[in-house]
Amino acid sequence: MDLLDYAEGRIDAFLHEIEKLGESEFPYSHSKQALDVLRIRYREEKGQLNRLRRLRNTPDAKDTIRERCGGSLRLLATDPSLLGFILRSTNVRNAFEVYGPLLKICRQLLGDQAKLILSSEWSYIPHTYPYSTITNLPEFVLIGLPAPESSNPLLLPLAGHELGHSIWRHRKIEEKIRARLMKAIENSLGHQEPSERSNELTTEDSDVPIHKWRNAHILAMHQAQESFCDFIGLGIFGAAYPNAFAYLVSPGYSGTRSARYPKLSRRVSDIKKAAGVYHVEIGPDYEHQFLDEADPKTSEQEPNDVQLADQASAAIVNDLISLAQDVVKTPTADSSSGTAEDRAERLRKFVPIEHSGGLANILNAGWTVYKELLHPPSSDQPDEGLPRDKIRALHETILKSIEVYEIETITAPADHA
Amino acid sequence: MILKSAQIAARLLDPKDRLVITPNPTEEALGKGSAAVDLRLGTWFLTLRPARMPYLGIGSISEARATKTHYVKFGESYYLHPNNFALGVTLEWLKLPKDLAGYVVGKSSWGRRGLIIATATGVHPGFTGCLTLELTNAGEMPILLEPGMRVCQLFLHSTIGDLDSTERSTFSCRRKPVLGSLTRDPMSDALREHGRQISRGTMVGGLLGGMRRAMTDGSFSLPDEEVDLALGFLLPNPHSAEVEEGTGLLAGKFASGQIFRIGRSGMLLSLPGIFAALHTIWASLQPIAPFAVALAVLAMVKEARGAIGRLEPDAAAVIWAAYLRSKGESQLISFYQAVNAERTARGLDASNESQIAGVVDKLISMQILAFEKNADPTLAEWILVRPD
Repeated sequence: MDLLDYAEGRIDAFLHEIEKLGESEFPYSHSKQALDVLRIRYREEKGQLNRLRRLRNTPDAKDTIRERCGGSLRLLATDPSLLGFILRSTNVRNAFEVYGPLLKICRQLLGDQAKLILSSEWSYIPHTYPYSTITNLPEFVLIGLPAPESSNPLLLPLAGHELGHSIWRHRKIEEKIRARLMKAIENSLGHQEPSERSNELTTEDSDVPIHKWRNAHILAMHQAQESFCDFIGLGIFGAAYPNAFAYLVSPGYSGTRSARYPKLSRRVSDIKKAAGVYHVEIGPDYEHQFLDEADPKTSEQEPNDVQLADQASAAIVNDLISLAQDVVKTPTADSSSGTAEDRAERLRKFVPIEHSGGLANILNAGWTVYKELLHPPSSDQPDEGLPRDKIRALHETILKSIEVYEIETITAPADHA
Repeated sequence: MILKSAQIAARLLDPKDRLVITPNPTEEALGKGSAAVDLRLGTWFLTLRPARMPYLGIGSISEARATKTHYVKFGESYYLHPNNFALGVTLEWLKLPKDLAGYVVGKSSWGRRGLIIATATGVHPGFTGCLTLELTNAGEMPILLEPGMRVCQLFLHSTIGDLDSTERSTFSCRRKPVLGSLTRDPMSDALREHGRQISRGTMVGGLLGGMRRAMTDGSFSLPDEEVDLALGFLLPNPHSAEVEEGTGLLAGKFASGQIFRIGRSGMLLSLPGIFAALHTIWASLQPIAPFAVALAVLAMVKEARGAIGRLEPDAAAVIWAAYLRSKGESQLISFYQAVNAERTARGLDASNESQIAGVVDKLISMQILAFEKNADPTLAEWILVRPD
């Protein structure tokens, strides 16, 4: 067999898998649409390879065939994980009720053309393929939340952070902060070797300055993006976001921090700072839930990169808070007919919320009641562990509230929808 | 007293002890002048997976293994074919106050089209959550079920006096249909145990009787009805003593190495032929027969092959060996040793079938008594064990 046969064989196998997945029960159309797009794309790819067969025996065509097959195989290297994601998005462990309201938020922030696939992934670290980053599915945002928590709607605010990554690209936030970040790095350097740096501030394809602080700049940009996403999550979901964040992240993900994230204690204090700006109330003891992880390991040549990145990204936090606030100024909540206390009171009685005004209001009421279940305000009883039955009932009531919200949205008169 | 629609509407607004139906019923759902409120079909369905379970019964199988969940979004349909059964759920989440109970019945317009809804209809005071609906298509045409359609009606009664408290059941606070678990209660346990004690004695007696007859019967023939009985593990009621006797008879004859005529076929089978037949039976029974019976058949094949010509024709021992094998090789050896020791002690002739049968019979009885005394599984229970 030659390379052309291998490449065609692999595309055939991939197409066959797409056909099989097409027989799944799709809870919403975007998963199916993504499969359809991939099917068309790979049929085209197969067609192109097939056309190359005519050139097979042409002496000069060898390089062309190799290049074309290489392109096909590179595509195949990444796309199987998409099929897995799509497959998991159809699993009934997912709480499909949340899809419609989350899509609504997604489109408010990214535009009506945005398509959403929501999945449960086998990792506690929420995961996303942001908008316009998947070559074959540029209009799709893929968000994966942890599968073991798929029936827990209280973690849904973490999707706000993941949505932040799409907004980061869509609103070109990186371009807006690049200069400020570079300036922050320069400030951190204390204006050492100015002539040398100014000579090196040229750019290459990635638009990142080429000089010896390039790595620090890249890390700082990643950190800034993560902070921005935290602020988006906070802006969309209010206090429910830091609560969900703490549920999943505290006291710390692992022993060692990734340099692409700000230090956990700083992330938490930045979230608190943003909460102050956004008028979101977070409990006074919030930061006590977290422990700092060990600093990331760095090579000997770059001992200062992480430190520089930390300082630079910290210096632009206020800018990021403002940028995220500008984005979520777009209303993601509808008008509600009750107060936060009214909503919580309904959940306390295991009665779904009506006229909630949106996902954020429901989830914040949910967090209020969840915390009360864990720590009853006037209980002298000894700690008997988690009230699992009540927590399950609360989850169910929250999910029904979300469905009721969607029904109200669908059936509302046109001028209110 | 049944509440009229106007009273239901009033209770939906009563701030003191409110009846909750969410989403709120529309005017059409409350039906002016009626005495019920229409409820709609929700988005979640549950179907059974018959290929995953032999039967449904108390403690038979977990819900997750027995069922498959389906989600049907608004705007799409679920096709319920004739004679098919599915669990659905109401779109509405209910919370009944302590002074109201209710029952659910299908919409007559659907009933006339063959759709039967909610055969277990009682809704207790304090119930909270979505109602599971039992949906059956008793008609001749497939029925298109659409989430959001009005599918059943809830009649509400006021109770005489409030309940002191309402305890949430396993069906409470659920947004998906639930199969629920079937549990035993002390009375059913007592009745069941009583019945088992009677059948245990009968079955063991039947088994031993069959084996004894196999060893003493010189005709070497097996009438049709006995073949049927001997293969009784294929029958739906493996608990009958007759079946057990037949099984024992067949086992005894096979394992004692006799050549005999098989039922209505009239064929004379040699021992290898019988082994081949046993192999076939074993292969076909493996997925469906009580595990231990199949095990015994297999054991007979293996044991008899080696036993013929060198060991006593102790058919019962062969059966028993299969059981003992499941308990461990050392017990199997000790049982053989016990048989031989007893035979030697009594000065019995190894070829005298009736004498050997007596020894084996006695030893088996002693073993059974010992097992019962130690609360171990009895032979009868062992034979009826099903693979999980």
